[in-house]
Amino acid sequence: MSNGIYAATAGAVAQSNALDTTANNIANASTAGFHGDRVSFREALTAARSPDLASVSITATRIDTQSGALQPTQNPLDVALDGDGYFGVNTAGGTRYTRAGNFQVDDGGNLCTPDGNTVRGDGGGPISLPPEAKVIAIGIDGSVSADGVSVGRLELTRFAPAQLTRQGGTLYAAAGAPQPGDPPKVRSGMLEASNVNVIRGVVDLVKVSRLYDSLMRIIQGYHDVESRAAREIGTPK
Amino acid sequence: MFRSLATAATGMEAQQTRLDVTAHNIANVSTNGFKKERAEFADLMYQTIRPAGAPTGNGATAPSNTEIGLGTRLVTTARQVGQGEMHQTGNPLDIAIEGKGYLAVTMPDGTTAYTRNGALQLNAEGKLVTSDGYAVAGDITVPPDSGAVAIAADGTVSATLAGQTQTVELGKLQLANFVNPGGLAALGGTLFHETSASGTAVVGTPGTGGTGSIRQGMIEVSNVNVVEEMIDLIQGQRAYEINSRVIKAADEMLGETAQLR
Repeated sequence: MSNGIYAATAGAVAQSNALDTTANNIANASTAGFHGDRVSFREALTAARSPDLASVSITATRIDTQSGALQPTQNPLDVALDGDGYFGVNTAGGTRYTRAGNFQVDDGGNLCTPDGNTVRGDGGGPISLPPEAKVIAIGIDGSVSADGVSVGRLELTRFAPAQLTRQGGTLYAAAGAPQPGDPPKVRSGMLEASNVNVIRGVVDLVKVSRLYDSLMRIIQGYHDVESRAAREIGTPK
Repeated sequence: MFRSLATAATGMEAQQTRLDVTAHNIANVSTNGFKKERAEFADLMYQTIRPAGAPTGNGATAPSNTEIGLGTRLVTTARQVGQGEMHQTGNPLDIAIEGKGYLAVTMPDGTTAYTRNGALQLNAEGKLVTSDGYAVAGDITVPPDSGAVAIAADGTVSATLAGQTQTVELGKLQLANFVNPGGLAALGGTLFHETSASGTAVVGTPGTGGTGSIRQGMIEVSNVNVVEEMIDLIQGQRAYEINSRVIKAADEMLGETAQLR
């Protein structure tokens, strides 16, 4: 049996995983604060089968940390991060981080995400807005004021992409301590759009489906060779 | 089977919802006091193929996660409470709120609703009502024999009565403010209900303490910007198309696989 058919199969599996990642990126092209994934492949099991044959597997999906476009919304509770960093969010599962700043106010007057998780202030506590507050402003350093009186400051932290695990709902869980460095600037009345580039997505789509097509032809080729071998070798002419 | 079929389906569903929201906004481009909505999305859960830190052999560990996301979902339709354009009508009972605040309206069932549609009228008893006939809070009645009604920036409603030279104060309009006006629940008819997300109504005199002031003879029209909505429509339609291309690509790849023999 030829080994090449296994390499082609591994390639097809890796391409189908790449398609899944591209599909998720494109599905989230309108998700505020969403950062897409990039796929990288690696040679796998080079020595396991034959010295001159490499197989491939999807090795990692990397978070593309490039910022999405900042879109003005006029809503004072919409905030976008200008620069590298994350907002902190308290969830039932612990502290999570997000770049989606489409905040609201919950029934306790605390700043929260659209899913109802409270937004962390400096020190980890919630940011409470007094019910009689009329004008809420969020400054460039993340300080929140109600009618000119400071009520807290948004927690802003930086993490390396490798520290973050996606949790859905545009939330990330972080492993390890935050990275040092200047916190990002906070832009009030703006939202960060998804950083997914649909053109790149469509190009990836074409690339993946063509590669998959070729790999299927290779598998078919091996199949033809082997079925001919089984049929014809040793058969008297 | 490919996850991408289901993932792209969530994307198409999201874009369809976005189109629904845009359609509602465009349909209400001429509705006085209408506030546009914006569909917001969040990503779904992720399937971890290999976690960061997993051994990769020879003592090395994976530097980052290998995670495959499963699509998107609608998280909220956030109402955009920005000011709409002001149109001059010259009608003395048309009022517009310049700045924050809502007019409180008493519904037939006794509950209070809030609106920014200030196209007011008088009912058969001379009471100040909305164009749907709901009484404006403050119980202001204009006598049938009164002259021109004046509504001041601070909400004071006054009129000159027949046979008198002095104007008489008929009542005061007040405005209700909310911490998070985007959290109000829409009742239709540009009316809103207070919710736990909006916070409780704080009633104040127009023009004081951050509350908007009242402009007589003006109407606040819809805050829908047709150009923005058209761009949203184009983006939504194209994103839908691209999601459907993902389904097509996955289908073709499955077709190729099915033909292997």
